[in-house]
Amino acid sequence: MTINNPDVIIIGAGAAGAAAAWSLSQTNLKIVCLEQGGYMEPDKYPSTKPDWESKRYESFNVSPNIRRLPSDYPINDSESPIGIANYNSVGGSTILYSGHFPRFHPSDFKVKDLDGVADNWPIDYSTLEPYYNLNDKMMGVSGLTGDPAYPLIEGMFEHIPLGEVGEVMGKGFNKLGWHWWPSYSAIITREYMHRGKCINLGPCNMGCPQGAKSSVDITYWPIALKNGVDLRTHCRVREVTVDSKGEINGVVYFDRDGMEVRLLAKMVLIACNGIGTPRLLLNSTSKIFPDGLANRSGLIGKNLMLHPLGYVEGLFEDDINSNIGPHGCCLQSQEFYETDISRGFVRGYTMQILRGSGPIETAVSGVGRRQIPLGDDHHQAVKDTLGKTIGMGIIIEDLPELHNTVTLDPNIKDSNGIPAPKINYKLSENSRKMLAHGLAKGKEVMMSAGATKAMTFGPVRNTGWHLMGTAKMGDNSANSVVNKFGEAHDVKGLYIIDSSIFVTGAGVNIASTLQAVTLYICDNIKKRYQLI
Amino acid sequence: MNNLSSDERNKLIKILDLIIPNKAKMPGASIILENLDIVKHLNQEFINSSRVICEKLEILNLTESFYIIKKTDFRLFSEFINIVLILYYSNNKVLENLNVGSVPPFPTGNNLKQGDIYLLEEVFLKEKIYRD
Repeated sequence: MTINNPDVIIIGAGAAGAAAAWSLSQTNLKIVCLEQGGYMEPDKYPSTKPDWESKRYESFNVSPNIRRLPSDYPINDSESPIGIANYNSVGGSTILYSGHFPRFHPSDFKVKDLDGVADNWPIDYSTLEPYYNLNDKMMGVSGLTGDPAYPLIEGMFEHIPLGEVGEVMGKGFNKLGWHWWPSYSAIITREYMHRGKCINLGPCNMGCPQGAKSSVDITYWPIALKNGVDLRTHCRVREVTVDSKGEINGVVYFDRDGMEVRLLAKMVLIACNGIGTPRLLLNSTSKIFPDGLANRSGLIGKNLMLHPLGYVEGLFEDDINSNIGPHGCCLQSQEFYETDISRGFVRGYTMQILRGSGPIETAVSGVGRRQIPLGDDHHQAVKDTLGKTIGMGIIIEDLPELHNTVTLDPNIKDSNGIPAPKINYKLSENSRKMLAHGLAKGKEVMMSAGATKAMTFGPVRNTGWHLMGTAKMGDNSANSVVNKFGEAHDVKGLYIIDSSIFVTGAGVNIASTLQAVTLYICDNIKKRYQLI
Repeated sequence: MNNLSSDERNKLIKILDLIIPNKAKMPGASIILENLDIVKHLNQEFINSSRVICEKLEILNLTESFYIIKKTDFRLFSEFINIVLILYYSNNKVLENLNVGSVPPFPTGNNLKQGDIYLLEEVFLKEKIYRD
């Protein structure tokens, strides 16, 4: 369906854009969504082919700087120890995410009150709870009710099987008396809507050909399209525009042929993530907003949070079939999630138990770390490793800091000539201490579980998936970019609905929360304009 | 393989089987030369690296000169090794011998043990650990 005079333009068709398109499509609003990527073809995903694992080194790499697909834009992350990871398509980064889908905790919204750092969110867990529940229903989430690390969460499908990996690690956590719980997973364990259940193929983070992983191209988008949303692919937005009074009036974008198109609307929702959103706003200059649209606070692009990730790997004597099953979703521990000042840092982290690696990653990383030799002993060393390793991600909460930024690179541009983003990021002392603590504790539990060896390192380079904080939400326009309903303080009708508006980042994967926030914002738009 | 001369190919066979030898029912790495098309996007990258490596190899002392490259041009050496490993572990014969299957097992998938959920008893009985 082609709409020439939309009421609403949504920029980006990923996790947030899809949820917004569906939510607003329940009204009479005429909606156009502009997406720089195209539709995915699940029957062509790498895991349907013998060379599936090799695609991780090129076309399905997590870094846009390595993939260099026409839908990608370059990101200068040379001044950051953490490389930026994303995917640009209908479905966005949910195409490559592992589907790990925990919620934020009540305390994550009140860090100023509880721990005296950063700022409180202007909304809280109870505000978002109905939207978490709605999003779980729309996406399809598996998990187990009764986790003492969370308020009651119900209505999930049966959790992903623990497998031998989960049993081994569960026993290891139990020996130490530490918390653990099966992962909250955006992967369905039962047939749901038009989707097949998980059959434990493994490489979820290269696209799920089965349709069991809840990427938004197969959850929200089919319904939004049926409801009449006009989704235009291979369309890259150059700028969001305002009229002479500073009121929003539309966007300028390049279509799939590279032609410049002007599209008018009185409401624009930006869903381009914590890098793409500040990039777009900083590129949207005018006489009224010479420093970037909605940037009177000067905070667009500041306070970037990335969740530095530590990695622990344990090697076990027995074959525990660790290379089988959803890679990122086994179990998690939040033993060290809430603040305990005696640890020497504030806030905390999640331990996320991963399955083992496939043959290529086992060999490449093993040789790189000099744990697997070349030559005569190579085969035996691979045999002693494959299916016998367990990985663990340590997801730490980095706090918002003004010196961690997204700016416009003065030299690098994308294929449409639009200035690329540049990242400047440094780990704070608090983050470093937390990371060191997490790595040590990760090693401790690996050994408790029976590992013969455990290695640790961090921050891991290309793991900057969780892009937050660069258009902060708040009540005070001098200290934030959008209000508690996601609308820019400076520009009526301009909404930011992605994780750039996060005040703090918590210590868990963000997809569940960013979609809950999106649904909350859209619900308030509907209420405000009496659309429901 | 049209881009490699027979001399380069002969050198490569020896070097590749030095990196990963034919042993314990596993083929040597020279097997990747039989079907480079399997990973098309790495094909040219492999050929380019191979040609640079071959130029630096001395035929009379192949092994020694290969390891000299490791010392004098580590980046070239490690990039070449990485490509060889990726191509080798994408090869059907290699994957079959590793018992990991050549392709994901559609349509039945993998059988993943459900696991003993009662291991969670002591966690379930904990007081809540989150802060309101």
